[in-house]
Amino acid sequence: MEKQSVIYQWFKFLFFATILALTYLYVLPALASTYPRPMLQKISDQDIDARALFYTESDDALRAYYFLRLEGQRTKKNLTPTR
Amino acid sequence: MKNAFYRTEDFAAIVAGGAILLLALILFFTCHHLDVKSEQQPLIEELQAASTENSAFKSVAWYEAFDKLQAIEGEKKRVGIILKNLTDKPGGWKKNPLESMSLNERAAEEISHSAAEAYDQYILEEEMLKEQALEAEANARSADYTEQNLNNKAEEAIDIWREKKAAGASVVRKYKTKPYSKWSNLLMLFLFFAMIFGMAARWMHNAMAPFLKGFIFVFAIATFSHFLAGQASIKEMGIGYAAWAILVGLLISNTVGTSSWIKPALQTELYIKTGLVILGAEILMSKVLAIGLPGIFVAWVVTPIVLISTYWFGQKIIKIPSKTLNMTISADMSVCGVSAAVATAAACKATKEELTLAVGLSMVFTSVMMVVMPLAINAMGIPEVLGGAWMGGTIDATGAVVAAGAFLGNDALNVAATIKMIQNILIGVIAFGVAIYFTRMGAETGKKVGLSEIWKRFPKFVLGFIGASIIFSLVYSLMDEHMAYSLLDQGVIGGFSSRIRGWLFCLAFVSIGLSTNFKELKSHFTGGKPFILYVCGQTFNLMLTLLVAYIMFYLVFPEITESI
Repeated sequence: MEKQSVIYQWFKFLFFATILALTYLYVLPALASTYPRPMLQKISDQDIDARALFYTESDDALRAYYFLRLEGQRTKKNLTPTR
Repeated sequence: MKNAFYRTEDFAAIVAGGAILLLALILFFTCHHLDVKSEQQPLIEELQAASTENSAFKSVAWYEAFDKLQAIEGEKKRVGIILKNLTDKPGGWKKNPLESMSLNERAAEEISHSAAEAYDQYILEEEMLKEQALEAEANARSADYTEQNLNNKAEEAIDIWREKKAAGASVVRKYKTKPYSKWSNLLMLFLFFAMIFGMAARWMHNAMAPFLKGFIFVFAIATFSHFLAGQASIKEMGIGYAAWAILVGLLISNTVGTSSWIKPALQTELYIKTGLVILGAEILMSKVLAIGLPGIFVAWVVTPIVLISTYWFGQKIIKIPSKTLNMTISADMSVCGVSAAVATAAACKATKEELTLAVGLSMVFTSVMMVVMPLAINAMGIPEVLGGAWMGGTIDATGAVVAAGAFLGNDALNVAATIKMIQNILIGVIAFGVAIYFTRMGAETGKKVGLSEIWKRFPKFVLGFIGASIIFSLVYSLMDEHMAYSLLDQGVIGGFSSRIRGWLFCLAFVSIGLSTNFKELKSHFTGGKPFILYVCGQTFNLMLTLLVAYIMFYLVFPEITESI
């Protein structure tokens, strides 16, 4: 019974690992291809990392903030307080 | 005493997180403060000269000075390169998975060569568009910038040039491909973490050797999760390491089972708490004012209203049995997704299954909203700035916000990313507020508790989190924005501490996956209540954010909108 149980566990592992692998290799890329082409093109061309969870993980977010700060100084409107 | 505060996980997390932050601050500032300053000074003068010469619109000279300034990054300096390599993770790959770990010289040359023609074409087109922009600018200058028609034509030509530059990022990166190998970097990082957390285990009177043995496996799965997240299509969909860490962990724990030799390394709370102390340094209070009052209203007024309303809805209407699950989902939906879920779950002591559920819901909806929202904004004819504010305040993850914003345009991207950043900063206040609320109310008994009991139950790591935020906010406010961007944002934080924090969250999610029973996870989803809560809360969030963004950006502060 013990040996069967181990074999069964490994069978379950291989079964679900195969499903995960198939989802990863085929289902998700197929889903990605349904996204609007211009959006995928922009993400690819501009090297945007859509995985960033927090703003500090995104160079684009950090640059956007820096840009708006300098923009505020340029126009001298109170977008941001100057130091 | 074993149970004294200084022997607890919270203390170890505060010390470990604080030490990492202090190390980074000292290294970057002592080694590179002066050379960054000397590099920036002439460019700052160029930027100021360009602003003085032309206040009607951002000139080519202004943009060129800005491009050079934002390219000065602490992480590209000597210390930054060492620390960035130390925190490296498997890179992106398209068809060849081995590219995520190494690329030899021949392969790098092949990639560079394949991009050569596109690069030359890009350079030609970019130069041509820049010439056209300079010409249009000269026409506007000849009228002393008083002719609005000429000014508009110049701005349009400059925008076209800027879009071309942005669209060339990938071609330039490919053309400049260099060989690399990440194996030794990963080994160094493993040793770094093993040392820190091995010592923490020893400090908390746990055996070090069993921890280190299990940590090899946990770190390997974390690396594998980063590898899975690096595939090009997966990257474009925004499915990051968190999802893969949990899925692979669940796969193992619910089939062959997590072996006993791995369990000592499943220190979920230690990894999360240390990560959260480090996250505190990324909560820079002065950034709240980035786009003035409109930004504050959208990010800091709407968000708490949505959070509290959703929590109330979950308690009174949907009647979710677990308060901590309710709070974690409400926070991740209303604030900023996975990071908010992690911080809130730790603050209210939610179970790992509850955190997993909240993270899963957030990631699924983020992927959908990233695509649907820009399409809806275009279909409804919503202006770029308003659309950006709407997406920034509602889509959970920053990467997805940036991708969605880029689809609409540069203004949308800038506003969306900045609103999301202001919202991210709210995590500190939310985590503290949630900790106080749940500690006072005593989630299990529902009875109020006294001050000493509050202190006893209070998750102390939150103090490290708030402390790091206060210290770094002070440091940030003492510097000028250029130094703050180069050495803090793109140095201490962007080049080191946030990367360490990302790894810690990944280790935490692997530990969660490896110790979660799928049946227990499923039981929290009975009746679909978490899903209903998320959908209802997000619907309210979408409506309120759009309304407040419209009022703030177009009715109350139209001049701020005009200058963006």
